[in-house]
Amino acid sequence: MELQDIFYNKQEYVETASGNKVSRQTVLCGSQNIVLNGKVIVQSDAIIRGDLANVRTGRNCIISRNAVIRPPFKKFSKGVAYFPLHMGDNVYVGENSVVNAAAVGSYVFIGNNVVIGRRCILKDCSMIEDNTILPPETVVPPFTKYSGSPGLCVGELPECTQDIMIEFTRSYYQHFVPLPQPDKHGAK
Amino acid sequence: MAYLTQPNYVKYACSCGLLKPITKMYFCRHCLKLRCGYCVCHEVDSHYCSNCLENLPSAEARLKKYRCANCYDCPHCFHTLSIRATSVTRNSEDGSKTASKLYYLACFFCRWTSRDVGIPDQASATGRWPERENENSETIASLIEYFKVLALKERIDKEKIFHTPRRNFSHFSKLGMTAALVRKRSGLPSLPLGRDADLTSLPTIVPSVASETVEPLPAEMFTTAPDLTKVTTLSQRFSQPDIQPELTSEMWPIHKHLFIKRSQRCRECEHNVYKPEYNPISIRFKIQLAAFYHIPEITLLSIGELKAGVPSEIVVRLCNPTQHLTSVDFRPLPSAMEEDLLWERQVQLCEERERKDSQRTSLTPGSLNTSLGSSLTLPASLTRQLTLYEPPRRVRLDVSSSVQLPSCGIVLPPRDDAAEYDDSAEKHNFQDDPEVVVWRKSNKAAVKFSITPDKTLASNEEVKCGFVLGYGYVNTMAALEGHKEPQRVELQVKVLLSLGTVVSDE
Amino acid sequence: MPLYEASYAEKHAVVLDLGIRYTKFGFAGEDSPRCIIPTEIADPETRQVRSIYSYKDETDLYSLLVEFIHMLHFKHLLVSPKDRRVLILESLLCPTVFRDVLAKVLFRHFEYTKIELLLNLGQYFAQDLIIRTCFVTPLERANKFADKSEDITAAPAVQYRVDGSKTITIPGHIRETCHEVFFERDSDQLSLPNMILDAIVKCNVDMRKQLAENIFLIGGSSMTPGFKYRLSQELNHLLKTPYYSNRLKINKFKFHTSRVKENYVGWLGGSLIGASDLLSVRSLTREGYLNNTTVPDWCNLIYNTKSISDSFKWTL
Repeated sequence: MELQDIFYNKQEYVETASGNKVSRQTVLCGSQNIVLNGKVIVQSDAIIRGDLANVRTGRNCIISRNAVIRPPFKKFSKGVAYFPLHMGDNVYVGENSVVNAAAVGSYVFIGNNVVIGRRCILKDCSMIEDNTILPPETVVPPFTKYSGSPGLCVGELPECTQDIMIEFTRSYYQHFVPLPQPDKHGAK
Repeated sequence: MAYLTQPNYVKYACSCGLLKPITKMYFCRHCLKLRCGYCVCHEVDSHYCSNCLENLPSAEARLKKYRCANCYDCPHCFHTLSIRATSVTRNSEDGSKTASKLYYLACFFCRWTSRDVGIPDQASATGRWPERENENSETIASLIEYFKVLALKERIDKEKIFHTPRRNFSHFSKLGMTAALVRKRSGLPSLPLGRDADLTSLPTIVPSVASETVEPLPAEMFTTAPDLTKVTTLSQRFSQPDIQPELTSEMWPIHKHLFIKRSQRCRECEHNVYKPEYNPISIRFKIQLAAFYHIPEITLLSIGELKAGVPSEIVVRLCNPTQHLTSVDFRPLPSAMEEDLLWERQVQLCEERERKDSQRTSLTPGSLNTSLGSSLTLPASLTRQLTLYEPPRRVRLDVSSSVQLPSCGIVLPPRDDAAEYDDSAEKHNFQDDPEVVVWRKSNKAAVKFSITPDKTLASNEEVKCGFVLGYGYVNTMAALEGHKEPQRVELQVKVLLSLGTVVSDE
Repeated sequence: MPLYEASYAEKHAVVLDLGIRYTKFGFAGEDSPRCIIPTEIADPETRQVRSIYSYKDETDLYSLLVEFIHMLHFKHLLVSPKDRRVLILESLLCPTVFRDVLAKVLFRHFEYTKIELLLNLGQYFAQDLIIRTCFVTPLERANKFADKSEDITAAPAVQYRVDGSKTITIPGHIRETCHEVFFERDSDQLSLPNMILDAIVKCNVDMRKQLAENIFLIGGSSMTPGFKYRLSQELNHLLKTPYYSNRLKINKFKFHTSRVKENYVGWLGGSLIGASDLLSVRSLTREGYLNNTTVPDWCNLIYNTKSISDSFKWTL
C-alpha cells in the first residue's frame, strides 16, 4: 500500500536549499556540528545532540517525532570521550527511538520505541523492529532483522532491501507535504 | 513501499504455486519463470561471525563447529559479551609495584561477568579463554569405533550372501581414485583387503553397569524452596547441549554462532538467481535476479469504500523496473476448473521429467528391497544423483470480488534513474484512455479498476481480487548466448490483491 | 554433477531427532547435538509460532516441515542440505502421514540423498530395554522445580517470575504432583511402570531377567529429579501385586546411569549409527524412494518380513 500524504504545518518547518525539512520544535544542540546531507526530514520534538560530538546524516533520512540522536561515549581511565555519529543514506528512525550508535549504515530501518545502546554498529540494509532494545556494542550485520530485549537476530531481509528503502524514504519525502491552506493558493 | 513493515497487500503467484510478495521472489532469466524462496535451492556460500564480521573459510568454520573463536555470547541472556579491562597492581618479587591490565568478559545487558562463575581474568584481551572439555568424548569416540567395526562386519557378512556385482567400479578408475581413498575421504574405516580378514576382534568398550540402588531425593528437596535465580532456564540449558548446566554458577560463555551468506539457485536450470559477495559487510552481489528488478511491480494506491455487492474503485500503480519499454495487459483469472486442469498438467509434466531423468541416469534403481540389501560402496557424491522434482502446488487464489479489467494494454516506459533530477515536464505520446490511466510519471502509471465485492460477504470479511497480468519481457540473455537481438517474450503472472474488509451498511 | 564436485569428500551425515517438544539436530559421529531447540516455527505470514505437530493436514505439515528444516539448516547447522545423508530418529508410534510427508520434504524439497530411519535406537547403545519417556510435561518449566516422591508434607511453594513483572506462586503440591501423570493408572491399567512390566511379560522367559536388570531411561522427562527413584519404587511395588507376581519371577530391577544428559541419548545413538558404515547399507536412497514412494515401516508387513528382520538379528 502506498503511503498516504503526511501533512505538516508550513510555519513550523524550515526548508533548506538542499531540501532538508527541519521542524522548529526540535532541540538541535550544537547545530554547527550537525550535518544533514539533503532531503532529510527532522520532525517535531526530535533531539539531535551535536554538542557532544559531530552528527552527520546521509541523504533522504527521516528522523521521526521524539527521536533522540545522541553520539556515544566511552569511559576511559582519564575520563569520558564522545565519538561522532555517522548515519548513511536512506535511514528511517521511528518515533520515540533513541539512537546511541557509533555508526548507522545506509538503508537502515529503525522502528518505533527502539533503544540503540552505546557504540552499536548497524550495518547497511538492516532492520530493527519496534520496541527493540539493543544493548551497548551490538553489531547488526547486513540483511538481518533484530528484535526483542536484548535484541537478537530474528530473521532476514529480502535481497532488494536497498531499493525498498530508497523507494520508501523517497516516497516519504514526496508525501511529506505542507497542510493545504484554505484561503491562500493550494500548497500542492 | 513499506514492504518491510506492512502486511503484503499485493501477492504474485510463483511458478511453484505459492503466493508471495514481489520482494521475496526471483526471476530466473534462463527459464523465464518466477521463483520464490521456497522453490529455489539454497546453498551456504560463506560463514561469518555477526559480531566481528570476519569471514571464515568453510573448512575452518567446520573445524570450529561453526562458532567464532573470539566472540562469546552471554550464557544468561545471549547478548554478545564485551571484553572489559581492569588494572591491577601487583607486588613483584623485588618489592616494586607493577601495574598490569587484566581482562574479563562482561555482558552489558544483564551484567553477567566471567568472574561470576570463577573464570580467571586473562592477561591479554584476545587471550584464549579456558574451554570446557566434554568428559564423555573419549568414551563416545571408542563407541563410534566399535560400531564402525560392527557395521563393517555386517556388511561383509552380507556381501558373502548376496555376491552383488560391483557396479560403478569404473567411476573410481576414471577419477584415478581407489575405493580405499574414497572411503578414507568420507571418514569411513578402510575395508580389510581379504574377505576373511579377522573381524572377530572388536575394539573393547566398557559396557555400562546397571545398579540396583537408586539414589532417593535429598531430604531438603521437601523442606527448602529452590532458589530460581540460581537455577537455569530451559533455553539457557539447551544453548549448551553437551553440558546443559542446571545451576547458573555452571554457565560458561558460549562461542558465538556464525551467520551465513546464502546463494540461491534455480532448481530447474541450476543457474544462480542470487549470489552475494563474500565480504560479510558488503551489500553488493555477484548475481541478483530478484523479481523486483524484472517484472512490473504493482502497488495499491487507493481503495474506495468496500460494500458487499456495491461497485467500488481501486487505483493501482504499475512500475516498470527494467531498462526496456514494456507493455502490460490484464486478463481475468482462470476458473477453478481451468486452474485444476492447469495444475494437473504441471504435475504430470513434472512426473514425466522425473521418469526421463531416471532413465537417463544409468544407475539401476532396483527395487527398494535390493537397495536396502545391496551394499552401495560409493559415497553419495561420487555418483550422479537422481534429481527428484517437487511437484508444483495448485495456486490458491480465493478471490471474493469480481473485477472489471481495462481492455486495453498499457505501455510502460523504461526505468530512468536520471528522471528524478529532470525537471522538464515529461512528454508522453502514449494514447491513454483517461478512464483507465489516472496519471503517468516516468516509468510508472496509475491504473483504475472497478471492483464489486461479492454479495455474500459479511462485514469484516476480507475482499480479495485477482487478475492475470500479462507483460512483455526483453530477454537479454538470448543476446548474450549468441542470438543477435534481445528477444521479446510475453509472460504472464497471476496477481492477488487484498483490499481490506467489507464495511457494514449502517 | 561435474567431476570436480565429485572429488569432494563425502558430506557428513546429519542426525535429526524430531521430538514432540524439542528437536535435537547435529552431525553424525559427534558427541552432542549441535542444537536443542523447540520443535516449532513462526508462520511466515502471521508470525504466529506453531508447533510442527499442530498440523491440520498434509499440505500444512509439508510447509511447516519445510520451514522448520530450512531454519535448522541455515540458522543452526549452517550447511547445505543438498546431497547429504540424514538419519531420522523417530518414535515407534509416529503417524504414517508424518513419516511420508517428512520423506517427501527431505527428498523432494531438500534433495537429500539418503534417509535412514531408525526405530528404537537404544538397543544399539547398550543393549538395554529402552523406555521412551518423551512425554510432554504438563507444565513446561516443571523441570525446573523439584519433584516429589512418596511424601505427604508438601514441598514449599516457589515464586516464579514471568515477564519480570508478574509472579506466579506455584504451590508445593503442584510441584510434587505434576509428574503423577506417568504413574496414574487409568481404566486400561496403563501407567509407565505398568507398561514396562507388560513389555517384560511379553518377552521371552529367558530374556526377562536380563531386561529387568538393564533398564535405561532416556528422554528429557526422565531428567526430573527423583524420577528414577520413584519409578523403581513403583516397579517394585507393582511386582508384588498378584497380577505380576504370578507372571514374573523377577526380584530386582537394575538401572543404568547415563554418562550424558538423558534428553539427547536417543540422538547420540543415531550419531553413533550415522558414523558407521551402517548408513550406506540400511538407508532409503533417493532412487529407492522414487521407485516405491512409501517409506519402510516396521508395522507394514511388506517391510517386516523375515528376510529384513534377519538383518537386524545381530543386534539382538
